[in-house]
Amino acid sequence: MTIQLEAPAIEIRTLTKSYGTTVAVNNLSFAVPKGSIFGLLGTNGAGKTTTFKCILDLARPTTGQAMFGGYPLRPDMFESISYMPEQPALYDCFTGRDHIDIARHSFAKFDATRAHNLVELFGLDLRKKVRTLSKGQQSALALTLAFATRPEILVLDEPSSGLDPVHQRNVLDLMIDAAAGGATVLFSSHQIGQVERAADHVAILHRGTLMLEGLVEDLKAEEKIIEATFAGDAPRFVELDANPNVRRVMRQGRLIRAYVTGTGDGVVAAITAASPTSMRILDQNLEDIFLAAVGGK
Amino acid sequence: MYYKEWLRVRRGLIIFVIMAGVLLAIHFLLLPLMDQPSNTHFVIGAGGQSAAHAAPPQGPAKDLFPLSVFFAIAGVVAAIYAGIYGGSLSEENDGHLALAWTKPVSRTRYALVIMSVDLAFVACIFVLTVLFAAGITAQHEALRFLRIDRDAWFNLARFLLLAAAWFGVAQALTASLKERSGTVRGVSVAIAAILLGLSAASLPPVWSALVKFVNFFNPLAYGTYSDAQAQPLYPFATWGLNLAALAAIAALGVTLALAQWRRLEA
Repeated sequence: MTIQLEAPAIEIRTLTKSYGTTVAVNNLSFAVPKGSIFGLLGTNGAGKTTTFKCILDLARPTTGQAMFGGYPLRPDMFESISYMPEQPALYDCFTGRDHIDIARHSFAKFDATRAHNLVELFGLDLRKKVRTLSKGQQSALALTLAFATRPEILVLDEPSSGLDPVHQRNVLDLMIDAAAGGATVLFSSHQIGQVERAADHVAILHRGTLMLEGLVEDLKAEEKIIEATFAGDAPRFVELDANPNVRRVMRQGRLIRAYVTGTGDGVVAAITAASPTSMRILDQNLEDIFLAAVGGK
Repeated sequence: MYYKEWLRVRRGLIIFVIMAGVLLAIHFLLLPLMDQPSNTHFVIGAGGQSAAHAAPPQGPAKDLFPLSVFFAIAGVVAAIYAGIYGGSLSEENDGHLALAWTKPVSRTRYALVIMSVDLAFVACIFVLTVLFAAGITAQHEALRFLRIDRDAWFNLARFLLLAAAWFGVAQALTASLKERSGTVRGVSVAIAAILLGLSAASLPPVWSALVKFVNFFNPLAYGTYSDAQAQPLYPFATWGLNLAALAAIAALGVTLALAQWRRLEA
């Protein structure tokens, strides 16, 4: 596959996928820059897996499409694109060795040495049939297959699912290493800490709709938490509910916490007018941003 | 992508060899109890069962083993394998599409390669069964009684194509299924056998015509065999048409299976 340098590695254009009356993904558009690690965050049922399936042509989008390096997906591009599904999709009756051999015969770029190193890394016993492997070991085998072709684009759906903390860290290192080598990684995870550690770009999906997307550092810089305490119960600020820059307000006893986009000057002014005993402005971490994006106000 | 299917058929081949070994062992165990070959009348028919009826020797010894008997036996065994391997696309659909469809080949090519390997394997089973049967016959020093009957080459093509047609039917019935593929294939054998049985039954003209029409698409209807001189009842009058019909069923089945499989979603 020849990928145009100026084109994003993956570009999703107005993607919608409906199952009957249920809209799993709604008018989704974003671009994954070449060489980036792009984390897709969302609650269960947010549409992450459906998005992956649609862009890889494993499910037919209702509308919209995905472009890879500026071109629509063609089967031969899978020589340079690896996909690890959430359920590893391995063949129960075959051994790990069989799977490695199948991949070796299927991909011209399959790197046996790389595969061997990954098997060692994950401590896999290739003589065992897949049905006898734990979920974590199956994930490790699927990861081995995904990384062993040294692909230009990796699409990983919950890549560390079922893995122990040591191997979860290994997966992060593999992704970072692949991106450092010029590959593009698009992955989903429920573990926000992992996304924050590895991803430079992030998109947050909620009920099929894109809530936020951008560079992690930019989002963190844009998003603030204004936290104030009061002598008595924290008052209710009706004006905050109407403020479009306020993503979420949390009141608990004397504490009020507002998740805001931008500087939050208006919010600070409103709270200051109510004479708090203390007030501070904090940078949000990715978990705060995620919760604010999917939790409503 | 052929390698995955090769692993599957290799397993099937091992099972075939084990079964043949067991049969051979039983044969040698029973050898001391066996008499000289008797006049045998083979009927391969409904449901693919074969039955051998011993009859008192009547004619000359050279009439005992028409070559077509080997092909009929091999046809039954190959058809059983065709029924088993006719679920290969369905098996991919049972949770493996995400792996299968992210290979650098089109879905059509992937499916065609799978089915080609399966069909080649079924043909291989046919040949091995003929060789096995011939080996047993030779062991009894009875090969000299082998007669190349008039219909031998027609029957060779017919039973090979019967297995291929059954493979096509099994693929067409199951390609879009995720589960219960085995059940569907099993039930389809029973239905095909019933339809074949009904063709010989005395039915009202309308029903008889309907059964006759449906049996044009029933591979088993082309699979009857008798060493008796009576004219077999194939759906068509000429050899060529019967062979063409079997080939058409196989091709139609594979095409329908492919069309369904291409439209699946992982």
